[in-house]
Amino acid sequence: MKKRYWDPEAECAPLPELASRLETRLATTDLFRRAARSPLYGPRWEAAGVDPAAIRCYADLQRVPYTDSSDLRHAQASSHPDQFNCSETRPRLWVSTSGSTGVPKWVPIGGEDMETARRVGFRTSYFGGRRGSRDDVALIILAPAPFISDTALWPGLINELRGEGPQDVESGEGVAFSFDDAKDSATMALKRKMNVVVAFPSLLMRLAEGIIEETPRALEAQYRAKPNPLTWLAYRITRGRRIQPRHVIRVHSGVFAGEPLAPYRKPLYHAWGMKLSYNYYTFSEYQVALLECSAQNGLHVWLDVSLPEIIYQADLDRECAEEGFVPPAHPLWEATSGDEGELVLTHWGDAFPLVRWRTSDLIQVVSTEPCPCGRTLPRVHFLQRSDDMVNLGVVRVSTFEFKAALDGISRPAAVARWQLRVGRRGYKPFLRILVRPASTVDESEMVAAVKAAVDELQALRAGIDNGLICEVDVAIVPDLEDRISTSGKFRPLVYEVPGNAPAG
Amino acid sequence: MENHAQRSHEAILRLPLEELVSSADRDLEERDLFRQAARSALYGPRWRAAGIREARLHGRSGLRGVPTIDGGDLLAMVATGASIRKALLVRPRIWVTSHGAPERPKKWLPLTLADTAHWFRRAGRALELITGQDGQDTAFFLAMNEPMPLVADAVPYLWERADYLAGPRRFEFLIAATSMLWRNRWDRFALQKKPGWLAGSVGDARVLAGELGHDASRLMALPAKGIFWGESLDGPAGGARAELHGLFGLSESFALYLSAECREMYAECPAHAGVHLWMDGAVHEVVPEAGEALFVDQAPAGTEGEYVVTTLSEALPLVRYRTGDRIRVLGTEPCACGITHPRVRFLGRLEDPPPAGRVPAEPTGPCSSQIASERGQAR
Repeated sequence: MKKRYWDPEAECAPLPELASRLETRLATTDLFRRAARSPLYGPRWEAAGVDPAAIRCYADLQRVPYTDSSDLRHAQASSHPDQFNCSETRPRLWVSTSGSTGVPKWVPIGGEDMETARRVGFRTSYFGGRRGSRDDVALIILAPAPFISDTALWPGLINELRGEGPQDVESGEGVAFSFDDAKDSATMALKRKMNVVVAFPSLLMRLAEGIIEETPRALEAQYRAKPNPLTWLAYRITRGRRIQPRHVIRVHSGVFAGEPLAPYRKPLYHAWGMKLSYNYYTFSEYQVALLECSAQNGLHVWLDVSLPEIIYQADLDRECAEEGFVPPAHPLWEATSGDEGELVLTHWGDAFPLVRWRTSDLIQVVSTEPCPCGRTLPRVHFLQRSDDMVNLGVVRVSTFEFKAALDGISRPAAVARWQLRVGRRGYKPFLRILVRPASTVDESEMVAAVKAAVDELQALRAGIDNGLICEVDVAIVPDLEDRISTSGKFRPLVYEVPGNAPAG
Repeated sequence: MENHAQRSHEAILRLPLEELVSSADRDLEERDLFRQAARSALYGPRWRAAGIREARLHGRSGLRGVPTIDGGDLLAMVATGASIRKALLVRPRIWVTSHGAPERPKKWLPLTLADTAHWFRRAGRALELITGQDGQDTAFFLAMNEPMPLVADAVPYLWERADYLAGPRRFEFLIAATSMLWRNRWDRFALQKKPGWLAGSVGDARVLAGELGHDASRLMALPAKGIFWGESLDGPAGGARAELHGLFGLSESFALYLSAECREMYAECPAHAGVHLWMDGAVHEVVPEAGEALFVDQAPAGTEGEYVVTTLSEALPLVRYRTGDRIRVLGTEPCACGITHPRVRFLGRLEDPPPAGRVPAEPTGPCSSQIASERGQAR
């Protein structure tokens, strides 16, 4: 396929030139003056002696303190939402994070932000290895408003109506639905013979499992209702052979968000006969999309709408071990292949700019060399979370919720120490809770008490009930002292297979 | 694309009724409605079985010669992949559904990009008609939508885009589904922001009020105004208008008739003399319990019956679709607001109880029992 770019200047210019443009932009931007008005940045910068007017280059930016989602949560608890709008005009729209820590964060989106997201969206139209076709039928899973994913569909159609965006990329048909309404809508998408999916990988695999379970029963019912050689043959085939969704329907490509694609890629290809799959990343505060290109090897990180940095893993470990240590961040465009660490983003948002925002997402740098697709933007894989969120794919529960549940256990004994270990059974996230009771007890009683306590965590229960994650396993252990990180500090949460662990 | 401010002054809103009727006749011809519809499995086989020759059908009078269809026919249409393919005239861009009942199959309706453009223009027209003269320079707008594929998902986004593209931007939106109330606690956020406008289904508004409890009356900034759909605001039992005004301290509210099937958004104007049925792009009939179908524009004021609509949708026109909604014709003379399109009052469903809205996934607020009871009644 001929290589096409929506904005080659921003996508394919030599990396040093893209980095140099960042310096130019830092020298002229009003970003820091606007951001300083926000209760998220102003008081912290003042306390750190940062003069927003004096931030004129990357070296200046490196002296600005980091910010993260817990800072936002704290700031929003004591300030009116309007104070967070850094735009000269009113926001257009407010979106919310999931509130998986119990307190959702609210993010304003300005008119300029929508324009930026729109332009970036147009760029990604040319990312895939296969151009869109009028004959495509897409199954699109969204999250309900006020989640940001609900904001994409209708404004996108209005862009199309207005003749904006790439005119040589054809649009097919869409069956879009919220994950709350999956059964009916997925059936409709199957009737329409969907061949493209925009979904969470775990939900699409769950749909595959449903088809594998239901098809033999459906064909048997069909044969009983209408016995004839054809229905008999179909029924008999399913008795001797495990029917995969690809035997019924062929999905050629998919765009996947919400969790890393890596653990699901092979099972998805096997189940659906998929040939192409692309990982997609965004979050409410950032609002623009990072996407994998036709090389399907890492997501390109924009160097014009954002300034990405990385805090290396060794510094993250030292931060855990050493009280008061502030880990340095380094330019992502200067990282080398294989580097791992936390992604830090600064972006030129209108209503809600991010300034040195610690994403809590651990990344692995794929390359900062030009990509086979022709783009020069750095490429990264998202590995897992670095914060206290227990990330089981689309199911996320805070370690604080586990702590509250486990602290509430008194019989047969209190929990003296515990650790959550996240792994996978096949492609499905799997959680094991290691528990050291405060006194010697009957192990089966203790296991039952822990299971009952965590069963109260509704998000976890819903994930298990809907088949998105495995049943929780509880193990009683005599000692947890050796379950520490490389830095020597005890960790309540450990991802057992880092390369396959879920991330945002 | 024209913006909604321009459209608000569309000459078509104030054309004499006779001209609107002639225009509808022309539209049916230009769209070649009967020939096109006969290609669809939704109409062709039954028309042929009834001996109807579509080539002989013309204009509004031609409608009299064809049988009505209803929701059951739409459900049958989406029963299998093959039945859908045979019914569609053009491949759609997106599918939406009506507000179906839980545990009941949904009526899926296809929209092409042209159909979406029609829906977008209607959204702009409704927003401008309702809010155009409210005297508020800017306002925070809390719009409760319903998740895709429900058609109500689109409404606030289309309003936001219409407002954005119109020039001086007037609204700041919080768009939220009541099913997310428990998860996001967006009602707490809304309390801080104090919306000047509240929009949503009547059922969702009740859920929100129940969740807010005593705080409902201090949710909104004055002059608090509302736009509601899904249930009659002025039905035979008194309607929901007074109830919602009481719950949220509203000074004014507007009825909106949303329908995936009709691809329409009929709005009550500031004269509050009924909901205007737009004559451009659809043909409206009323079928009294005893008697013949009448075109709404020819029906005497006070006529009550089932609302039947014919649309010119590109992917799948609906020809004489029985909506299951009861209407009363209020008047066909020009309205005090200057608009000449007929006015009706939607009185509710013919059989079903009104929809109760989407309830939170885990109702925990003070209205949990009310929600639970409404959930049981939701159609």
